[in-house]
Amino acid sequence: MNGISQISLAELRLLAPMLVVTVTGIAVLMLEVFQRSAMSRRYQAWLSVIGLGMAGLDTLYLLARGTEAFAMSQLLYMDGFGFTLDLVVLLGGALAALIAPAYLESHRLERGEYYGLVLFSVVGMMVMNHGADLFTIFMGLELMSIPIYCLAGYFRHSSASAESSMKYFFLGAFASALFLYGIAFVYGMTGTTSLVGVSRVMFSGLGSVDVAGAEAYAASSGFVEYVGLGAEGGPLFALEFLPAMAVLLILAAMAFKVAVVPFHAWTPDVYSGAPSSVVGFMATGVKTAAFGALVRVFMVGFFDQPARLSETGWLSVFFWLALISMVLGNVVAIVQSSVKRMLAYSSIAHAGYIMVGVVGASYSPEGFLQLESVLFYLLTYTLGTVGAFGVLAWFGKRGEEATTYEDLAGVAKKYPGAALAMTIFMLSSAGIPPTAGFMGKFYVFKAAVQTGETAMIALAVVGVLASVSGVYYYLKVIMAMYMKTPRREVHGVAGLELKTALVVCAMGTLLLGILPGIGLGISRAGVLSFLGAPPQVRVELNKLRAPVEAGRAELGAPE
Amino acid sequence: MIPMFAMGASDHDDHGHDDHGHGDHGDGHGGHGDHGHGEHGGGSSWWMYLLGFLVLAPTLMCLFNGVVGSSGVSYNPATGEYSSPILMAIILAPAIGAVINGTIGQKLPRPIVNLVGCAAIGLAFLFSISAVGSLMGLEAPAAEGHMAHQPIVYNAFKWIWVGNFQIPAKFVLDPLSAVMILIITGIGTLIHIYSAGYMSHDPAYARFFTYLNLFCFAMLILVLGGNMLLTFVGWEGVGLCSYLLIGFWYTDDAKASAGKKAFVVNRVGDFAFIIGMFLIFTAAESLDYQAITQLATTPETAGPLMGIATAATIFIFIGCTGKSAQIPLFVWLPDAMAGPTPVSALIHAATMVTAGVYLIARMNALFILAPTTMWIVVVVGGVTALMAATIAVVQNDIKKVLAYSTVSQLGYMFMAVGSGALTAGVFHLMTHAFFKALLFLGAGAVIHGLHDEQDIRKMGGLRKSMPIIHWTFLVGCIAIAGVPGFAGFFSKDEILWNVFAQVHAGAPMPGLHVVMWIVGVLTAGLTAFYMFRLYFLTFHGESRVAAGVTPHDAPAAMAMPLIILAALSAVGGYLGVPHILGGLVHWIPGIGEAMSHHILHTWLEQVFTPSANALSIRFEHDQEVVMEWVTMGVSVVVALGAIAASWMLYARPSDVPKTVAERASLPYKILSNKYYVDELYALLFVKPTLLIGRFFHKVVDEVLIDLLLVNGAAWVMESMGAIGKRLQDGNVQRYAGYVVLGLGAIIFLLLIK
Amino acid sequence: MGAAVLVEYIPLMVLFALALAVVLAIVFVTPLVGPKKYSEEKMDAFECGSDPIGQARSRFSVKFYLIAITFIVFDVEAVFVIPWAVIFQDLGWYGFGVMSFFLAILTLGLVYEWKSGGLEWD
Repeated sequence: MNGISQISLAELRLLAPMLVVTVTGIAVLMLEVFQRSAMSRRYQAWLSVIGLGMAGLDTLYLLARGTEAFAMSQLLYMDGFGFTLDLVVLLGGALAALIAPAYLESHRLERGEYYGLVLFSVVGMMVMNHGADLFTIFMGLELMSIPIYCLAGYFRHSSASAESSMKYFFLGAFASALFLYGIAFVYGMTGTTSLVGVSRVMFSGLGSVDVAGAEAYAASSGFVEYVGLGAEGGPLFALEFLPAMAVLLILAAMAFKVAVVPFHAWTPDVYSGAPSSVVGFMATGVKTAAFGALVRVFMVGFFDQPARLSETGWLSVFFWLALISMVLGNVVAIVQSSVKRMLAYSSIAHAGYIMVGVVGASYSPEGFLQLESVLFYLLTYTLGTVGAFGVLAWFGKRGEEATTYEDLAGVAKKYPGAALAMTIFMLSSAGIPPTAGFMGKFYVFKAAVQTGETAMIALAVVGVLASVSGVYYYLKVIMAMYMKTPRREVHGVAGLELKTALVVCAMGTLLLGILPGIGLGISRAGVLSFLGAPPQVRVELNKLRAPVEAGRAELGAPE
Repeated sequence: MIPMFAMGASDHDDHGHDDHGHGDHGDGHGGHGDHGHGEHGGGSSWWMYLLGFLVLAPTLMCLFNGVVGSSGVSYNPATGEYSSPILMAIILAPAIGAVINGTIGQKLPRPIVNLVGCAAIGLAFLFSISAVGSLMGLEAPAAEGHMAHQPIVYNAFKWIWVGNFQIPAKFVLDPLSAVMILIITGIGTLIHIYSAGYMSHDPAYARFFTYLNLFCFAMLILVLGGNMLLTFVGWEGVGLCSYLLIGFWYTDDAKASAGKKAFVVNRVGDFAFIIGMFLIFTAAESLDYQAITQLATTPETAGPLMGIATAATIFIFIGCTGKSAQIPLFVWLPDAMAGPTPVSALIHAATMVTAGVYLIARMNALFILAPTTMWIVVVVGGVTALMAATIAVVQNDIKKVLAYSTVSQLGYMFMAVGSGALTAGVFHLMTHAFFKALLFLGAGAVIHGLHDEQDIRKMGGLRKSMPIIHWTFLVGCIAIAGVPGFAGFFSKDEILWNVFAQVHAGAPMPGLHVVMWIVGVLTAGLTAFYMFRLYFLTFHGESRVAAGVTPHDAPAAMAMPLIILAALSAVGGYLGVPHILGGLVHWIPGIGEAMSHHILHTWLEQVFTPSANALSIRFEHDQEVVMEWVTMGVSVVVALGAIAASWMLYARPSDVPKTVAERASLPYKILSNKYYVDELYALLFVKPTLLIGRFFHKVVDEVLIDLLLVNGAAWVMESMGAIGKRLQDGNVQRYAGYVVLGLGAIIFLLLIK
Repeated sequence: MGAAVLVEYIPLMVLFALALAVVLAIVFVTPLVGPKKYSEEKMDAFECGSDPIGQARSRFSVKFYLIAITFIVFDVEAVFVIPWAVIFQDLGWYGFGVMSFFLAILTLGLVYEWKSGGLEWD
């Protein structure tokens, strides 16, 4: 036992959701190779859903209990924020599994690997959601990304799918390299990769690192072993430049994963080439995990109070990324003729909207609670987008995939259910009440407006205007389905699974639109339980947590 | 069959009045039940269902009274108000009828549709009787030994609740609205029954009854609404139904245009109404009639209202000129005769067009604060009355004559309310509803009997072939002409006397009241003249009916309302016997005492007390009696003279009308072209509007908005999108390049600072 | 940094210069001084035994990659296993358990590869 820290059973208990998903993934793969090849694989979809559902229930339980703990040698934050993100990711994964069977069958590619890859990717996302260390986050990132690359190329006979996979892989590797490069900078400066440690070392002083303080902290905290910055302990580097490089390299990698401009270029090609059943998951799950990690890294590791929205702080970079993404995503989406590409561009715009929430929440410690808008938006976005791609999978029969507006013309007549569901998803994406998307946008923009800062309000205004122009192309889908005469016959491939998924998405979209309190309550619980928050934020959170915890004590729950 | 109907209806009438609606209706129920059972096996003609209704309605009434108590009136000590859901029942009964006929009516057999339509309004009538009976019972001692009736208030729900702009859906039954709902539902019921006969050949009967019921619904909201906004809802509702019914035969382009004309002209007035409403709200911070009256009559609080009173009342009056067809917005009413005749009777004679009079009466407390407006009302009313009467003299279309007559009589009503004689105005509103509905229905029966012939030059001598129509029509003519003893005499005379004698401040010129009185008398003479011209040309002389048409008398369904209305036209005036004639009726056992004091005046007194205090009579008491006799004598002589003149000219073959028309060709041409008002409006408003519209269409809309703003914005967006699209060329190295460039740009921007 | 620091590098620079000189001498001087014998084989283009003439972009089977990836997986496994083996005694049963778990997952991966035909050439 010399120097090795053991994983306790209590920690394993907290990791149960991840383990369940991992085991389900392995089980699916084993079942796949040991079963007769002629046998249907539909049960694997349900098996995956059961695994994800169990993990989800356990996550919900942990969230409800108000669990807050470190795990794996303080590499993971097992807190409400992570659990809430887990819920979204698990939901996305389950929907992706449900959408697939009929679609894959029609492409004669119904193999268990699909579900295995989805499940492993979910595990990676969950690791990212809980990451307390830059390396944990990197591990999660890779564990999430590599299965996604494979899923993008899952139609191995289709050159578009292969191209999608190849591009995603190359650019993803590029982003990973940037991330590692950023980690290297951080480590070089601070001697640690732990987010809390980075924060304490890097930003404890105003503009210069207090080495003695950092050492003392490192010694007392036990988080990191302070390696030392420069032999003499004098003033280190040009502090304006190196931290900026570190922050920006990590930011670029994160921005790549969430697909905000100008790190978005891969999105349309990858989304339009990848199998429809998985694109929704790619768009939402990856965004959820990446936004979770982004918030965690920047709020914990790079929390930079003196520099907020100043000319050099990262907040201003976020600000501009959000702005450009909203505008460009919407504008370019307008001229697309393929619905899949349109949705890809619109996902860029959605990343911009979410970024607005992040900016609003990061603006001041008092506004931190507004992070709930980000969590809520991710939830609504997951329902709407996975649903929309699910409908495309419905009309994705091999050889006659309907991807353009023209292909979808008039489908409402033959497939009223699919058209209705698509209408709900489009309205939600466009942000029209009474759908969840409206409430999501409302809260996100509210997060920006509540800061009271003129620039922030301007950002919200631009966001609203951009989303108005987005209505055009979303309605175009509805118009095509209901009002255009069909150009060619479209045959839907839908099984019980797909229909279940669409019903869940549609009902969820409407439910959250009418009763947003449900989603908002969970989101708030997530934000209130945010480990590693800087002291200024923690003060604010504790104010809000007091009544919650009193209530929990009253209910007699443990802890 | 006819007597049975008449009995049935009057039975109810009496019954409702006798026990003030408090008691049970068991008697009525039992009695009619016998009739119903006796007839049911006989056949399936439409009146069977009406009979069934007469059975059904009292039963429902009993049920209602049984469930909610005696008319459901309850006292709320907290607010000091009486409340009853029966007001809701009155309003909703026609609404339910409209919903049934409007949704599934087209699939139901005709008798059921007739039944539903008539039952809906009939039920509302019975509810109204019950409610008014309750109102009569709610007497409380008021000032000066008079009895006041506590209004029945029903707050249905909170309607608009924003900040201090709080509008409840509040309905109020006070003596004024009581008179109105009895007219609306009573005459409405008769006209619905009449329509069952009149529309018996029309395939769109379900739609007709839907609209008719909908109209009653809206009209009841208008008069029962406890605040201006609710009244406005009804106001718009009746406008809509009027539009729908004028253009009922919408395949005929002229009729559809007439509907449009009515709607557009009314919108002009409605706009003014809205402005008036806003003005009042800014000053009173309430649209509630009771609150406004309270504010306006309390000297301490009247200040803000005084400031806007003139402007607000003028705007509201403009609204009234639209709905009630006064100068300058009267042009739509003659065209509105394109609708089916029952519609003309109900909407364009008896009820909707009197909404303006009702509104001024309702808001009398505010109007009395604005003497200028009052004089404007008098003058506009008088000029309209005279002008319309002159036009009516030369019209040859039976309905057009009646239409101009209506405009003229409405002018009378405005003269009355303008000169502060509110009771007289409402009184004339009521009697006019009786005899004008009668005349329209009679005209409709003539048209029906002649297979859609409306030109009086192609009638004549119909008294033999249409005896019932003839006699009832004659009663109507006598009533409108003001022959003593008939309804019109009492109300018209009261108006003329009041215009002559009553005074309120702010007359723009001395002696204006005398001028207006002379106008009134002239109009009365003209009215008698053209009505009897119409009567003689239609029913006397040689038959000029086109060959092949066999005139037939009114069928039972149409005859029954005619007879009831004729009776009302004959005796309706005794509700308002002037006090100088009080002695003449004093001897009548039972009600003589009440009649001699002008029943209606007593009834409405509490509503009009606030403004009555601001008025005075020009004469000493002795002088007054003498003058009243004199004015009455003058108008009676004029009326009788006019009837005689028209008898000489039109009852016998005579060349005089022709000669007059030839000799005075210019005035004749002006009159028969209705003073060229339509042409004038076309030149002044329609053409400029079209020009402006064309300008906005061609220049502003097509060039500025479509081309520059809409397509321009779309073009900008698309070009931006196209640029963005071009960056997306699929080259993966370039994509990586974008990442690097983006990162570089951020670093550059950050470090430049 | 000052001149004093740079002085320490002078021997290194000398070494670089010598190395460069020797290499250049061998490359350029040998052809000048050595004997020359030509034969057909010697004049032929030679590239590690494969056909020197053919498509510039030759394709070879994807199965090579599969084998390579499998190799890497087990190669990396060794990276983990060898340090564990070195201090295996110190880590005790906890360490054994953790490593067993790791190897079990790896074994399942191998099973998967085997069953799905990843180890067969055809």
